[in-house]
Amino acid sequence: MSAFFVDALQQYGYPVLWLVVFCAAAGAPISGSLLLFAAGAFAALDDFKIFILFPVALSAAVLGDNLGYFIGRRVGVALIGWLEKQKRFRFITPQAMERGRAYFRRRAGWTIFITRFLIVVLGGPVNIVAGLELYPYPNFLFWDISGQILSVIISLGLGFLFARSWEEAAAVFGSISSLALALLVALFLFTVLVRRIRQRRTARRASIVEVEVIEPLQPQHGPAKPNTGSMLIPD
Amino acid sequence: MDAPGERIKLGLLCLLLLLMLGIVCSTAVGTYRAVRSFQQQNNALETGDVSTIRSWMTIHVVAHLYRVPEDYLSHTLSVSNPDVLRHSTLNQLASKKKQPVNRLIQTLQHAILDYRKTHHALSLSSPLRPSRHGSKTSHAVKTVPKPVLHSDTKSYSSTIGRPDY
Repeated sequence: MSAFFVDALQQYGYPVLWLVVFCAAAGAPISGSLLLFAAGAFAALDDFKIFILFPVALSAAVLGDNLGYFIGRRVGVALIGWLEKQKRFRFITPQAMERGRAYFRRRAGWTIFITRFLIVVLGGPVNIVAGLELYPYPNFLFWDISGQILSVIISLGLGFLFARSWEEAAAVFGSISSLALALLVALFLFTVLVRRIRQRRTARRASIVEVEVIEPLQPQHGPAKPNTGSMLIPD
Repeated sequence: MDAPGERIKLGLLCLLLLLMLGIVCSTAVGTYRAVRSFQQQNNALETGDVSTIRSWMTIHVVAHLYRVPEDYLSHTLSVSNPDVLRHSTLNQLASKKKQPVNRLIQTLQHAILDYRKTHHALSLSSPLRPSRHGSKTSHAVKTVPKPVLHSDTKSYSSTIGRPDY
């Protein structure tokens, strides 16, 4: 697939680059950054002009992201509304949607920014989710353009610098991106686990304190009974 | 006492975390290998190793990187209209010629090695970034002699050797 796009890039030039980057940014399962690496390399080998490549790639990426955002905003919202009415999925409720919206808004800026240049594979889905969660458009545009400027500079720059081995440079960048994603997910799981363990401990302590408070208050008539309260205390 | 559901959730979370740590290790190894491969490719390119020719390269790029005249390579591949096919990659040239791209690459590798044998003044000791302008060409490139071109037939000297397909 990538060989086909690289051949097309050499043959037809900037329009192919624009189209592929636009489709990749809109969420199509093709690698736009790989083609940017190739374009940077070809620019170093005198087949393209780097100062034309930059605006071409940036405009394509930003417009593709906007298309994804508006698909999420127009189609996604309507779809979720319809699913809410249908009540086919238990987890799609107005409360759950509101919680999700609030959660996304707290982290949306950085999420949009990072998925432009580091975890590129999540760029398309994040655009759709941003639209779906009705994230304010000016904020989306700001983070999107900032991230895409960095993304285009990194991809074209590395391609230009390592023109002779751009494929290997792209592979290194892709591996680093995968590693970052895996680390992020691992960190998230670790945080959730630690939080759960802490909640569990707090609940245990609370139950122990409750037992200790209740026991002295109990009136002791007649012979002493065995302490059944201690049964509640876990090991 | 914890509810059994809570314990199961915690267990699943631990399992997921372990799985994710395994994926992190695997991608870290992958990254290390990619970096190694990148270094090896760069070293091979700096020594002028012809095994680094790739299917995405055009004749112009191969000529530039391995310091061989473009006309010579076009002639070797029997490309009649090099100006038209200037932006054709080796992949595209191979499909036009209806032959595997590896075979085309092999032909080019032989041609470059033959050219080097014939023109042993070639110096590959100083690695180059591919120069984009003629005036910025390094001394190493300037010392490369041009292949002998017979003016009457417009063909290269037979000493260069043109591999058969």
